[in-house]
Amino acid sequence: MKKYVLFMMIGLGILAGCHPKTFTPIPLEMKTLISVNIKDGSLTFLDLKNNKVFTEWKMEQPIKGASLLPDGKTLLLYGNELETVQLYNLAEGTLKEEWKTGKGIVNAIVSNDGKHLFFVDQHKNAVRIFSTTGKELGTVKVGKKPLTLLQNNSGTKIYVVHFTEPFLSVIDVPKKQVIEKINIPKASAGGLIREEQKQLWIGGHGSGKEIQSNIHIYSLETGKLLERIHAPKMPIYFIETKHGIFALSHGTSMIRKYNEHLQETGSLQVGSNPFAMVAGEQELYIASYDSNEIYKVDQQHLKIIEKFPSGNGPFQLIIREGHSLE
Amino acid sequence: MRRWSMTLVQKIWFTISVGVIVTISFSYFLSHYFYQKLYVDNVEKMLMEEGKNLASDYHGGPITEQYRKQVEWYNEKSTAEILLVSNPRELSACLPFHIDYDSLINEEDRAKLLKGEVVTKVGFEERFGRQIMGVIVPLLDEQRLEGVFYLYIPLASIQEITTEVAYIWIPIAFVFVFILLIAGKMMADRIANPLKEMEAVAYKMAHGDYKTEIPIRSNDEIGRLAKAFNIMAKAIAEEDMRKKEFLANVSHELRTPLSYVKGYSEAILEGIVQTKQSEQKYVKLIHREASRMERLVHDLLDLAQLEGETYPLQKVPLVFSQVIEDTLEKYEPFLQEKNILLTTELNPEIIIEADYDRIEQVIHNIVDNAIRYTPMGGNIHIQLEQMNERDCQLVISDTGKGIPKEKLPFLGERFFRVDKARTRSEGGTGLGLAIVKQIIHLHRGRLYFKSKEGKGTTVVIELPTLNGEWEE
Repeated sequence: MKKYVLFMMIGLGILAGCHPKTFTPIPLEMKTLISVNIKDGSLTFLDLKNNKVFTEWKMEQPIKGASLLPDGKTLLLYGNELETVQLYNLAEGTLKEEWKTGKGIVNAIVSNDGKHLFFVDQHKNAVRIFSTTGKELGTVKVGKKPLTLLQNNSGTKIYVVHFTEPFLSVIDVPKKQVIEKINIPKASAGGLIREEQKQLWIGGHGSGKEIQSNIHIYSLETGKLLERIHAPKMPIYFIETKHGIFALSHGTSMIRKYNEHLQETGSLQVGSNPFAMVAGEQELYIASYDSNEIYKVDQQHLKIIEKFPSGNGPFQLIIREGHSLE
Repeated sequence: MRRWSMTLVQKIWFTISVGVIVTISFSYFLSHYFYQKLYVDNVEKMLMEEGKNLASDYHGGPITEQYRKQVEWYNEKSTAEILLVSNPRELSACLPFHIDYDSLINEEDRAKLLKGEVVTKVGFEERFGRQIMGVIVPLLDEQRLEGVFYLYIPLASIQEITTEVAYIWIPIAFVFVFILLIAGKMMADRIANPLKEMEAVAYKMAHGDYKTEIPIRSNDEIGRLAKAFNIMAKAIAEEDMRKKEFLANVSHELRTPLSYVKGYSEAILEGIVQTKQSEQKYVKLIHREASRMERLVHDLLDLAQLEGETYPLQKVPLVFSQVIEDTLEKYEPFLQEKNILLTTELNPEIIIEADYDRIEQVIHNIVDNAIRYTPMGGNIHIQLEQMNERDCQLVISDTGKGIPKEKLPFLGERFFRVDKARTRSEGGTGLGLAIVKQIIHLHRGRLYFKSKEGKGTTVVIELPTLNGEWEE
């Protein structure tokens, strides 16, 4: 009798072990800030309505980033050490699906038209185009070590910034091929497309011993360098809102604000070695990588409003809007 | 094939050599290790203090040119290399982007530095292309790692110092080893030489030469062994002497009666003897001498048997006084003949465990002697008493001519005669007391003599009684 109990216990144990991990569900209606923490492989969820940390998912996997699918309910996780990209149902807190991509995925974005997913594959040195259901539609070979992906408003053109190449590749999505190369500094990273102004902003770390302290602005039409804006050191993340253009320099932990005339209208030192930000309506959220914090900064006055603790090494921020319950 | 074996000297020398070499090399490595460790520790402490001192001048905010210049000035004056690093890339700030850049500090160090901890580095540093001992002190503006002080000293300079030590050490160590090895060889010889001498002497002894002595040079184990060896050699020499003397005695004792027998028988054979009467007399003499020889041979056999430690005694409980009385009975005719007065004083309760025949032989031999040496009309007194709980004492005293004091210790030795000329004529074999001594010895008793010249001799025998034996 005792033996049966023991076997049942072991059996249950195995079943429980095989069962995918369930995390705290994220309510559908809650406006949420998702922080991807790469040092400990976790996700931090901030309840933006109540301004507090809601929960933390300790995935304990080498995730490097996330992307929210157009349905607003599914979070796609990737990492260059992972064999698959993982799709989590936020409302249920469960792993919904896995797409076998192979290792090397370092970035993923959803096209602005909501039809495609673009994966940057550093093993294949290519941009891979997927449907939102996980079907691979095509691969476009680019230069070595692609990393940053930018896209135009319609999502038909993507701009690939490489780490080790002195140029940027422009991909035509319908054609699935590189149609143009724009010369930019080596070790560039981060950028911004201002389609109406026909501007392409490019940031970076600087190559070798040199430290990048400028934002390079190129013409979207001609690919010519239009201007350099001084923004020390290492500007690597850009956001444009109705309040202006914001550039984040991780080397000096500075956020700078520019107006239409590319004049600096304000700056603020925030956090320690920040790498990412995301814009709300009136505020910016900035991930401080070294101090494991998320700063909430007022866009208009560039003032820190609040800060929240995050998991270890916040590297990417995503806002998930609340969904009405029908 | 003969197995190669080491001599004692080689063994001792080998042991000493191995010991010396192992000790010296071990102490060298140990001192080297401690020296380096202490020195490296000291350098680390110094660098850390220096770095912390420099860092205490930083009060947050971006690192200014003035501060950098000050540090540069200080770097020129300081023995250590001091780098003020504020390039975020060198500080691994861009690490999540997998930049192919070999930064000065790695992610792990950065995490420590962000916590305000000081990082220590010992070993090869690719950036400097050499072995270094370095200390990294963070410059923190709140949680921001604005820069670090990287202080280092090439390890080569530390090793130079230890090699310098080695230059002095190694020749000294060599001389020291050399001296110790020679001293070891001498010591080994000193130990082994007396042994070699002993060996030589032992061979000489095997060939019958007992005279050589080993010179004793020390009072240690070897010296004592040499001493014991000498004593042994002396004992063997004495034993050898005794053996020779004994043989000489035996042959001498036998020769006298033999020459009698030969002489008289020749006289008879050659017809020198005229009358039947004289012939009768000569034959009687021959017979007497033959009996003497017979007694002598008998006694010798007895003695030889008794001197073998394994002689089987037929031990039974005996009433000692009874044995004495039985023996004395046989002497009555002789006593009367010599008109000797025999008095006894015997304790009848004394019981000994002994061989009847042998004890009888003891009494026989002693009383025989007493009668032989006591003149006409003398006295013999025999006394048996309990001496203490364990032993009894038998005292046989006569009023004979006594024995000179200086000859007392020799009584009981084979063929020892107090008066050589006279005794032989008086019929003894010279072995009687030797046999007595041996029998008493076998019974675990004691025999001694007291005597005053002209006054008489007392023989004392002490024997364990049966009570005593049991108690033991």
